[in-house]
Amino acid sequence: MVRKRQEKIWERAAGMKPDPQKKKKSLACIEEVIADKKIHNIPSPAELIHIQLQYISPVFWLLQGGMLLLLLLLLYQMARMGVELADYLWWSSIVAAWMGILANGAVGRYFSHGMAELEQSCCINLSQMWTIRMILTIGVDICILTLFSGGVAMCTNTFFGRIAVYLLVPFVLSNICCLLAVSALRGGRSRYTLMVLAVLAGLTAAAPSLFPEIYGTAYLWVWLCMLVLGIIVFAAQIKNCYGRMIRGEMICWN
Amino acid sequence: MLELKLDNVSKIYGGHRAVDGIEYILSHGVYGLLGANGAGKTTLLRMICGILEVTEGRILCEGTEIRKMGAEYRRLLGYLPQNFGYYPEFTARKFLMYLAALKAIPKREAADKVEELLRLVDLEQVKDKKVKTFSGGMVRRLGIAQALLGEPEILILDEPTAGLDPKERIRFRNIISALSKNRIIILSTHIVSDVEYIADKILLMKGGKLLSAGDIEHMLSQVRGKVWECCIRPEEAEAYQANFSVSNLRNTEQGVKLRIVADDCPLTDAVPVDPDLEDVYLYYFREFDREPLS
Repeated sequence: MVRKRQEKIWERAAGMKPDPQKKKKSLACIEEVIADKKIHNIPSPAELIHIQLQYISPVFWLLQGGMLLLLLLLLYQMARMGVELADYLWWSSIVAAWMGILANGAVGRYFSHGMAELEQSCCINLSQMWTIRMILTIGVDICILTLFSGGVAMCTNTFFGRIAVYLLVPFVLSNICCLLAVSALRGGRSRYTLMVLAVLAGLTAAAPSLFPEIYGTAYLWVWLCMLVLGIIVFAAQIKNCYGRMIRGEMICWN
Repeated sequence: MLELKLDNVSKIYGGHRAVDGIEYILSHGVYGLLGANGAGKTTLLRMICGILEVTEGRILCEGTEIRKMGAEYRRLLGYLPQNFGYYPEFTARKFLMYLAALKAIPKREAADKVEELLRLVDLEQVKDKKVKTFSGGMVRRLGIAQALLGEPEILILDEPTAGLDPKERIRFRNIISALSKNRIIILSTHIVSDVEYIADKILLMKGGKLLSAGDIEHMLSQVRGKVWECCIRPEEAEAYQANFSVSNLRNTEQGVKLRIVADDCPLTDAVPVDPDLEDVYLYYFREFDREPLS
């Protein structure tokens, strides 16, 4: 019954022709709706990383490359000289501390040119970019330090993990100091403050080498505790900064 | 029609209320936010942009709190901060491309839009020059261009004309007028002439509070009969300036012609004149009210 009725409708429809005026009007309506429809682009995490990589200052990459080169040269020279583990760690701890300052200095760049307020108002806002850049810069540094630790481990016949702990401690501590300066001090974002911090961090990182026994297995638990504690403090610091950024406290200084 | 509702919005720093219980509904049009330095304009704009957290009250966009909308709200925004910074090594084009990327505008679309905006603000010739070589006015124009990226439905401009020469100001006013259709444009300034010709509504802020709001005719009506012109001897000019809100002083052959904003007639032979927006501003922001001089 229903099928018959449907067939009748189709038969009648086949003989009908659309009204050109109504058709034109309907098409115009559709075009208007399409024109008004905003198509939003939602960048994927990969695109966000790509944006960051595109706009990271070339100076940062040059300095980062310089650090890598310095570490490789140190490794090569010391391996040739056949020095002790403490000698490797003396120099590489200083470089690790500098790397922490450099990483946070690059992130602090967001706050040093009066761009933070504008960036926070964008679709991909400052908090998101800050997180991505932190992951990128610190991630690159950790990779470099890990590879270097492998190299030292091979040259000194020491367990790789142990070397990594010795190098990550000054790296994490310098990150903490630099983030504190960048987030808490208005002048902490300046190039000069970062340079002073780099000198102080370098000196502090070199200090344990004056007591080579501190790198012995007996003290490894102390290093491990310092690393874990450092990571916890750094994570808490990042959380605090993130909250202050969202509330605007870290962005609107005046 | 897009609607932005300020629902008893306050910002408190320590014990100080920088913005104090502002209630207002904004829909399409140009809003001129007028107030002296320190009136709370920038703080209010930062809260509307979602950069600064509201201490009390809510800001609603189409009935939804802007904090909850997140990126969806920021997508609607174009913002020019008062202290507009830039990365010095960026060229004008790279700067706009960078902000287009942050505004999630697809690269190909962004490239065309950037060229169009550079033409609009007359920076096309210097698009490949570093921003650090630009004059203050050029940087400001670049700021205006970036605010227009992504065709924002809510355009917030904090002191947009600071550093612009008269020709650039007129150009800016024309750009804003052309853009005002189907948008909310909030323009904060303490320069009355910036908003006099283009604002549909004027909001007057003082001490963190919204003193008065309405269209220009409404604002003018509030001071009608309170603006006077009189002619005095040159030696009396100083005393009058000290005792009244003088909006204009002009030396003529007959003496000094004063334009005074006062509730009562300041001088027996003073005549009431038609007010302008500067008189309204002066009326609300005058520091003294004196008895008329005899």
